[in-house]
Amino acid sequence: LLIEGLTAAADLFFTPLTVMYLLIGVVIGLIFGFVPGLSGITVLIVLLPFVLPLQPVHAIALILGAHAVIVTGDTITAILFNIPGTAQSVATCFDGFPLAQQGRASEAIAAGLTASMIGGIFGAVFLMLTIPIFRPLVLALGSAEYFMMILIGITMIAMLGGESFLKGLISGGLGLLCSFIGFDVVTGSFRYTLGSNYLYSGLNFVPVMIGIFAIAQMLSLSLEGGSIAKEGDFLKGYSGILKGIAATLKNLKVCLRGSVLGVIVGIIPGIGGTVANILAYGVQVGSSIDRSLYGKGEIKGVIAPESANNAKEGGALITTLAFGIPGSAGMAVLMTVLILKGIVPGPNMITENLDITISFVLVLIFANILAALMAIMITPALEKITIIPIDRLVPLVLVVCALGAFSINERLADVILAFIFGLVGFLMKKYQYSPAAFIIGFLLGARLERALHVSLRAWGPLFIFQRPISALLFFAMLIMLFWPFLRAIWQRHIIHSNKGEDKK
Amino acid sequence: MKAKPPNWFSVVLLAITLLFTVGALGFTARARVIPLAVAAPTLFLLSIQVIREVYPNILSKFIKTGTENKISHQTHDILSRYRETNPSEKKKDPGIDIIIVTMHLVTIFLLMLLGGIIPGGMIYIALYYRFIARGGWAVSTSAAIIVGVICYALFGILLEAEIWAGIFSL
Repeated sequence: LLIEGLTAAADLFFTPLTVMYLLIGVVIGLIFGFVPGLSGITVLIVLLPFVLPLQPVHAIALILGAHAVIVTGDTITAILFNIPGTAQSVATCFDGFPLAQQGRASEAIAAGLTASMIGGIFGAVFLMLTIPIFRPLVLALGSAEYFMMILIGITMIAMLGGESFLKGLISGGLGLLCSFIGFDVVTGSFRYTLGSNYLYSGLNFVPVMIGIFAIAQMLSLSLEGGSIAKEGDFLKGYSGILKGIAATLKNLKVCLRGSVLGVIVGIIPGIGGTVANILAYGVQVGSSIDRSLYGKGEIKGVIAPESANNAKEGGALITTLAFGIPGSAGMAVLMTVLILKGIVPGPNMITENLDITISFVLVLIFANILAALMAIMITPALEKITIIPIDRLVPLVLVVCALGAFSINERLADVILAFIFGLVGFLMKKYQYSPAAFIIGFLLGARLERALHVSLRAWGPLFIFQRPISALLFFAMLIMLFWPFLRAIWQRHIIHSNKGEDKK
Repeated sequence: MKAKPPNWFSVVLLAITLLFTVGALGFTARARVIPLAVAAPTLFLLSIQVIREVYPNILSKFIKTGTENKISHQTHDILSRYRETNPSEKKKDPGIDIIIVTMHLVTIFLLMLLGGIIPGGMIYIALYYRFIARGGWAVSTSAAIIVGVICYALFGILLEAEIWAGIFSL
């Protein structure tokens, strides 16, 4: 099955045009990763209008190529300037910057890039090898199970993705509610359209995403302003590159442990690359005999987190492709691209579209290799980007976002929609509501409703309890929802009983 | 127990969710199943959120110690500590922030509406660089023209978008 899929995927992937789109994606991803503050999701959103006219495999090469290597690009700024391009490379700063201060910047960068490459390839291979394992599981799931899995996915994203569980759940609920606007294909009725023709077809995915992520991010940046790095910290020479590569290969165990952690974090919806990066660093420090070296310029402190944040993409793609549940905002954008291209993530990806699924693996592998090689080459040319005050980029990206929203259907109303959701996204970020939970709820709303109606028709109102897996998932969700409360009650009970024993 | 004013954004979200809930009651029996099933718990959770903001001590034993998860808190702590040592954010009044960002969006939209999509965008870029980034007219205009040409190539030629659309196309 795998070999068959691999052959078909290779036929799709190894064409000059696909490789060209992959190259463009990798260069754009590296540049956006390189500019701190722009955030990885912005690049995907800016690319969205351009992938729509492309063939599915070209669209995947462009957008996944960019998405997969953003965390490679931000390694360089994390090490050189102590400023991660995205939050996913925070832990890389802890030892990367001290190494740069010791004059070992090129060694640290080479080690970080090699670890990123190994982590990315590890994640991709893991994704490919798990397809035969997930295939029977995915095929055994029916609409009732999908209904519960979507609910669990949103709950997990709310629970793990933001600062507040409550606000995360509210954001997911609001996203679901927004997805119900428009014509309901199941019942043939219009909902929440307020008599507006524009709302009859529902809220368009692309302007909503452009608004809630890219425009909101630009609005935040316009307020923060300031330059990113100070001059004088740039990379000096390439002397340490071979030393850095050798250091990673010597510490392959560290790299693989980081990769495994990254993949596990990636599979769980909602946790994200920041946690993968910090967790891998924490585990590396915890497992070391001499912890005092960390934070002062230990090369293993660069290798572990860098391998984790690239490996997590392979894990995140499993839940996105096999179950149709995106675990992060980036995966939600990727899923939108697939849906707009007529490919519905879920069991079909492992049965009918296996070639497309395996082409994801090839894109991940080659994007990571290309990114590592190119990052070394373009670093001296690009590093001066980081001294440009970030607020200078705001009007450019805002105009491109407005054009992107307009170009989908050539309607000014889409620009208004993108701006409204831009303001909503800005306020959500400001008041700690979760834009990621919102967008995932918005994306999954229609599927949730379809699964509910099919299940109601097939098994009646108690459909959740008619199927063992859905019942199990239901109880798992209840435990997830009430676990914090139960734990708090249990902790109070223990404290009280300890006090009682002390009095005796 | 001391009461505090709730966060206005939570109140707005509560009102919107209430509208969604009431609106769902008007749909046919089958069409309202899922909107109601989602709107009702969201409304309940938002009510708890608003109550928490008004009376911060209520439920604090459960929610503050229990609901906020450990992983995201630890990550948040590390990020906060990192930001404290690398200050780059300018602190401003939140009310003014919202007015500023709204002004940006209204300005760019009005320019696009009146001048056409790409020309309006170019005017916005020139004005932004001139008055916000405080650049000279020559630099601001040059930047706007360069971006306009790139946008025309990408959107006008590649995607065949109607770049003059605006008030004239309404």
